[in-house]
Amino acid sequence: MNSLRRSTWAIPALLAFTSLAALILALVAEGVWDLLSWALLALPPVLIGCFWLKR
Amino acid sequence: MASPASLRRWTTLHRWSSLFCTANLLLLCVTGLLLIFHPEIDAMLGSMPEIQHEGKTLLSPGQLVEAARQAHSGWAPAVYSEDEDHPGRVFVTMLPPGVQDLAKSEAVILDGFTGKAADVKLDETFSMIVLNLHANLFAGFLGELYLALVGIAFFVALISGVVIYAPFMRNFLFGMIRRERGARLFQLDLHNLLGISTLAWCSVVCFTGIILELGKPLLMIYQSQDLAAMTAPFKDRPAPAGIVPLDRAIQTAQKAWPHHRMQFAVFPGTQLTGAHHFSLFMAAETGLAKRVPKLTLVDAATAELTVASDAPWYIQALFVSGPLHFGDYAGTPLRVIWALFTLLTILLCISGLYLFIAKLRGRRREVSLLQEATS
Repeated sequence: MNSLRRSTWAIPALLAFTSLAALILALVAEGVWDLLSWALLALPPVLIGCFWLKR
Repeated sequence: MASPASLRRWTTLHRWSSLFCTANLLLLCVTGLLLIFHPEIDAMLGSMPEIQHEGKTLLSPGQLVEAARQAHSGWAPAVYSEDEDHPGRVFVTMLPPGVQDLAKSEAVILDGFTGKAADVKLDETFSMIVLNLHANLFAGFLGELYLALVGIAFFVALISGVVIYAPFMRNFLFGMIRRERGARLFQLDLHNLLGISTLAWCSVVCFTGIILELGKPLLMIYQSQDLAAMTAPFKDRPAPAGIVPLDRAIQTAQKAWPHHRMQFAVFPGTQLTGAHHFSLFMAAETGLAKRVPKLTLVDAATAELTVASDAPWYIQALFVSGPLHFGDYAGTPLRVIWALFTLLTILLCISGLYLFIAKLRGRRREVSLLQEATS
């Protein structure tokens, strides 16, 4: 995890990719794909919450 | 690696582009937050009529347009559309006699089962007032252009923010938040984390917002280029003496696009479709084609098909920008996540503003220390 965090772009690029994938997935697919898109798009807020609340 | 001089330039660009859009962005976030939940707010305020549909059958679009004509006698129908999320709620936009400009239109809200026109002025409902504030600051087209400019400034702020993020974070871990070393460092770390994590969402909402604000110029291009080309053979003919009922135009469109439902229809006589045609936009039941309807032009004199094709690419971009901007396209969970991102954007603005003010204060302190030292 720390080696991932040490890289400047690893996590930001991953979040950008999952966010864009989620936005498009929700647009072109239905049903179970909506679940996946919600999960992927929730990653940035969840991650921000984790780092913010971490002591 | 950016040189110190170019880094300074990017920082300056980030500071001023952000400052220009921050106040506007805060307003857009707050109104946007209300718009995400506008169906719930409408229901709470009772601003939209309730529709009971047990055991009733839907009236045909043609019958509903007749009902709208009766509610606004002498006015002409311009646009017919159905509320996808509320079966039975139908909007018919009416124009006063002799007027073509849709900006002067009024929407009649109909119960699709009874044909009863609701006693509601759509433009005066809370949600529409918030939408107008969000989309044009009550300043019409000028307001839209101004907010497009705000969007461009936001985009510049996002890009420049990314550029200065990299050298700043070179020796730090992602998500680092320094709590024990003063408010400024805490806000700085928070600003970095918020900005870089929400980058993709902010970019998409910013970019689609700019496209939506440019809707009017895009429609003008459509009228003068693509629509003019498609209707060129009709150009010199006189306007038809009578037009076929909407229902017959819909039948023609449905034959051209099986398994599609009509999302909205534009009546002949408005600028958006010209004097000779109905424009019908046909949406598929699933997938991208549900959001980007197909274009159908039906001869208003004969109900024959003139054109059935994809809309031009920039009109497709306009269609797809709506859901991608408002987040109302994949259920309530998506809307809740949209609201979370909006709140994070508000925090991004506030922490940025804090950093700007802290910087100003710091400068002023330096100046006063300098003055003390030299006096």
